[in-house]
Amino acid sequence: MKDFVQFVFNGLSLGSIYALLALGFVVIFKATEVVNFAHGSILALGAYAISRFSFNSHIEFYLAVLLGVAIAALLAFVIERGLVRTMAGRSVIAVSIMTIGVDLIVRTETTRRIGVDVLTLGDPWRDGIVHVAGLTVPTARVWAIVTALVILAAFFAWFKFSSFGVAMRASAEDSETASLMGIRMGRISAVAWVLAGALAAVAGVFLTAFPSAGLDASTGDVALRAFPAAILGGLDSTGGAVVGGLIIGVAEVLTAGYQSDLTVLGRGFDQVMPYVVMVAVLLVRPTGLFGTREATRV
Amino acid sequence: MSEVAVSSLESAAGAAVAGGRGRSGRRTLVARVGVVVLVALVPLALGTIDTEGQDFWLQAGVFAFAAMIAALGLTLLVGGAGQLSLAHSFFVAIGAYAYTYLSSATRGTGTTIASSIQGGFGLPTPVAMVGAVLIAGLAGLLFSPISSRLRGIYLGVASLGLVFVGLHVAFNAQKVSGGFNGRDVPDFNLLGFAFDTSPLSVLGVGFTRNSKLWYLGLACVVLAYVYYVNVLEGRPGRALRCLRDSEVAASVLGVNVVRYKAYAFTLSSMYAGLGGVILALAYHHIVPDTFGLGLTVSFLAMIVIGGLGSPGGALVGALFVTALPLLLAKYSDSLPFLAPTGSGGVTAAVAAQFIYGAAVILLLVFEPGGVAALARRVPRLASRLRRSPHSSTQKEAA
Amino acid sequence: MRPRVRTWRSVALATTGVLAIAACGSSGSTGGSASTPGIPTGPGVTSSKITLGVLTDLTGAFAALGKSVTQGATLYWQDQNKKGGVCGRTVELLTKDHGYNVQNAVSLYTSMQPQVLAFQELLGSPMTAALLNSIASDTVITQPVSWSSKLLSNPFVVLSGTSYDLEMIDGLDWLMKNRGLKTGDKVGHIYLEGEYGEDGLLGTTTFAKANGLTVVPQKIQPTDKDMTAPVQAIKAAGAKYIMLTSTPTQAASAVSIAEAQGFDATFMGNNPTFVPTLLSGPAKTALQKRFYLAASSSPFAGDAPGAKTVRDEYLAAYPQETPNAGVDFGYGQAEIMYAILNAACTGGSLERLALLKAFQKLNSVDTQGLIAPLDFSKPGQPPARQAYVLQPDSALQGGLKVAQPLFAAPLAETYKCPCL
Repeated sequence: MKDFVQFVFNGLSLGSIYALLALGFVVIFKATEVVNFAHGSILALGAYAISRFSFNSHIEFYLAVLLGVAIAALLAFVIERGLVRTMAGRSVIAVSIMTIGVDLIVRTETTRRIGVDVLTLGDPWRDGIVHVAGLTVPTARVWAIVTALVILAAFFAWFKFSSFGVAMRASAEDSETASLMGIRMGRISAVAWVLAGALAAVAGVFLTAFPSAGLDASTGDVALRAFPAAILGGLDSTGGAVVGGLIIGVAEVLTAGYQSDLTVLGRGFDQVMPYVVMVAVLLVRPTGLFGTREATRV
Repeated sequence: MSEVAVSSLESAAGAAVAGGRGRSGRRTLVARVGVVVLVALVPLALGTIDTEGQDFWLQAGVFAFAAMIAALGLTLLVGGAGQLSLAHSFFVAIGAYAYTYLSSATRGTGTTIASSIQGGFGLPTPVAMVGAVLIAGLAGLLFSPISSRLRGIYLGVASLGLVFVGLHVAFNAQKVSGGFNGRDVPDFNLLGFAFDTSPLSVLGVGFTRNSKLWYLGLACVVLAYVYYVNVLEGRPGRALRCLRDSEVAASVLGVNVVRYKAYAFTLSSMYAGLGGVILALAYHHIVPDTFGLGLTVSFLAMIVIGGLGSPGGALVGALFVTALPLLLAKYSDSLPFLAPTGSGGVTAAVAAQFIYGAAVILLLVFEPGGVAALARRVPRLASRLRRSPHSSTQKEAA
Repeated sequence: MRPRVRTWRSVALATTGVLAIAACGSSGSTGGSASTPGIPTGPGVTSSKITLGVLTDLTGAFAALGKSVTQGATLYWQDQNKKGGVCGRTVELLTKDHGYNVQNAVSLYTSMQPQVLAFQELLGSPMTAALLNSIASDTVITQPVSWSSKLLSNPFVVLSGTSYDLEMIDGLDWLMKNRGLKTGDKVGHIYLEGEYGEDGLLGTTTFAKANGLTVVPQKIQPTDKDMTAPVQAIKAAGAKYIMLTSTPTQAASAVSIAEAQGFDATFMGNNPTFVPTLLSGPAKTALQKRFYLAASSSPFAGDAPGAKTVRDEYLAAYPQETPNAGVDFGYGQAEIMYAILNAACTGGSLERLALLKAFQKLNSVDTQGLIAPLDFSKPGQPPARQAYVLQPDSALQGGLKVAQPLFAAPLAETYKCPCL
């Protein structure tokens, strides 16, 4: 039982990182209907920048994070302005595939720069541990949950109450009408990409911090694991991204933790589990847990 | 049910392509036959130009043919019926493994230890090929309760799950797949003619295994293409297009939405299966890692780069995505101003990746119609130059 | 002839000094071909040059490893070419990048195969598995960057050291003799999906069966970064010794989780589970305290003369870069390749099958301590059975110190690899 609680808690902390990534997928999808395949390489580049700032330039960790997040956001902004925007009006699948080209370039360059090293980001939590009710929890993961909660709460408040949030929701609802109402779609799209880039870099901090060992060339691949999380919650639902992230995190950790009891499925099933959970949910609710149901009017 | 539809279409195959078209139709037909003949001559030409390096070109060609067949299936599904699938590499894997399993010798009859662990049915290879295509189709049909329920990106990511399930099974079902290390693919043998490494010489021209496979692959591409055009021009094609544009309108017009969605998924999976068989033959030994996320995304890239929904585009896109990275990897050493291999700078290998990534981006940003449109533009420009003195002929042609 | 060439070379060395050797290198090549007139040759061999293939990953998931191993091989051959090359010919490497993509690897192999005599390096387990048949039918001697005993079924594959299963057997034996592991204990094993992980696990299960241990296996994926779940599961099962056949970051994650949780476990990893830069991160203390590495090649900072040569040459050639065991490995592989080529030359042929014949007669390849002594004369069995036990030490270049010099467990000596 104690193991179970420990696994669930680990799953939730991993899930909160997935939630940040899933939210990135969701805001971009809401604003532009594009699936961003370059999410993982933006994450890796942001984490790489943070590591370089905090080690080579000896900048205070939190400042380095801010700078790294800014760089990831800037990259996302450049992708949006330079490429996504010039493809306006084209099939969203084409734009999504275009991001694969971006991913290839950014990933190759980041891999080249990381080289043989395993980079650490210089976070102050190091391998600290917190004991809560008999559970041992890495300090970094506690901060992951706290940070995710704060960011997500701030995001929801902003999304709900600011005029910009209203504009964004309107554009997601019906972009044509929204633009007729005077909402500047270009700006919505740019802000969405910048946000997603920043979220990816923040997720990168926690993905490379303890209990992971640091940033290596394959860190960015984790972003794809947030894919089913975004879908599970409903791709156009920001709240869904959070719930989806948590569910996927818990499902994954439980499958990995109890693999000795699940040998029927074959070992290493934790990679598949997120998709199984997702498909099961989609069979009941075809647009995810909180996704807008498509109503067809004739 | 879709099997019935398929067989009824089969009988109609061939006729519709040639017939019922005007002069321009006949002209494009002639052009297409010309392309096929040219491609068929490539192995002969290579044999005389570059004997040492010819196997690379032939093998790359067979890989491209396999990709073309599978890409036709995907463009039918995505471009034709509007269903986004990220499971294509799964169905390609089904085709590849099914062919291998069906045609391999039954357990214990082989000479190596591996063959005593891995089973098989020992069927004649053409039967195994047809069987593989049918099994891939069946897998697509079994997925149709899900595929007909979901739409757009939801369907895409749900189908992506199949790729991970497939990999997991391929790693664990050692008796069928050979596990991580994969298993050998039996050589194709058509009525006594073996597509293997045994030397073959016709009229003084030597044929290697890859040049034999070149013709098998080409034949399958032609077949797949002709069949595709027939499907799209017939009743099912109209129904699928209608489905893509509006499901509601389609159902009002009497199109059975669920059935046609299942039909599209099944047919597309059968294309993937045939592509998988050719791919397996080209590899000669298949490992699960081949059929991962990278392959599935590159199929999507093929049909988008080629121009969504156009069969010609799928062929050109498949060629582009298969061949360009290979050519870059092979010739990147010749690029100037690069850091030497092994150093930390921008080496030839890194530059090759940059160029490929940039090519994908530039093509998609600046050429909405894909490679196919780019290719069309060149002859159009040439003919415009040719025709400009006689504007009357231009009118006539239009 | 081999001793004659050697004597000739050492005389040249002693009498004429470095500059003169460089000159001798070029005259030596003509002399070499004169001494072996009309020697039959395979693909990639001219009268003055031998081309070897390097098919590796320079841009994909294993780019870092690929780069290091290639650097090592390049260093060796640069050095050896200055000394006159081999068989009167200089050696050139034809390097291509497959980016860890099977299809690219298969295609590039097809294009390289007719141009090279042998493959100095082939990186990537899935790529190697896909190419094993072609390697056999093209009869091309190939050195994979892998120590998997599964590869031994192919006679053309040159395994350059102790296989993963034997590393684990040696490692467990050492834990029993030195770190309190005893019969009846449980041993956890965190292993990667695929050939690498399964070969390591094979060693652990074999040793466990012979010594009355119980194995608690935990399979992981290459993309897993956080080892909390497998460590937790092993802890729950009551094991205090954990074997690792994983990536370096996964190993560091597992070790530091145990340390942070106060879980008093001892870890033993296969040779690819460590990179020195891990010691600049938060895992440093935990690694130095709890982690051991079983490897058949010397650490970068090792005392063996071979290791010292590599160290000096590497630091001179790449002063900017972090040294890494891949360099030593690549260098050692090139030395083995030299031994094969040289023996084939002595036998009077540089054809591919002559290479195989020469290779299967090599019963003691001496890399001056860089790699455990190698015996290739028993096809189908691992060429080496000994291993070092190494321990992280941030004070040393390469980050590893020797806890136990080369030794072989009794079980390792008698172990018959079930790999054929």
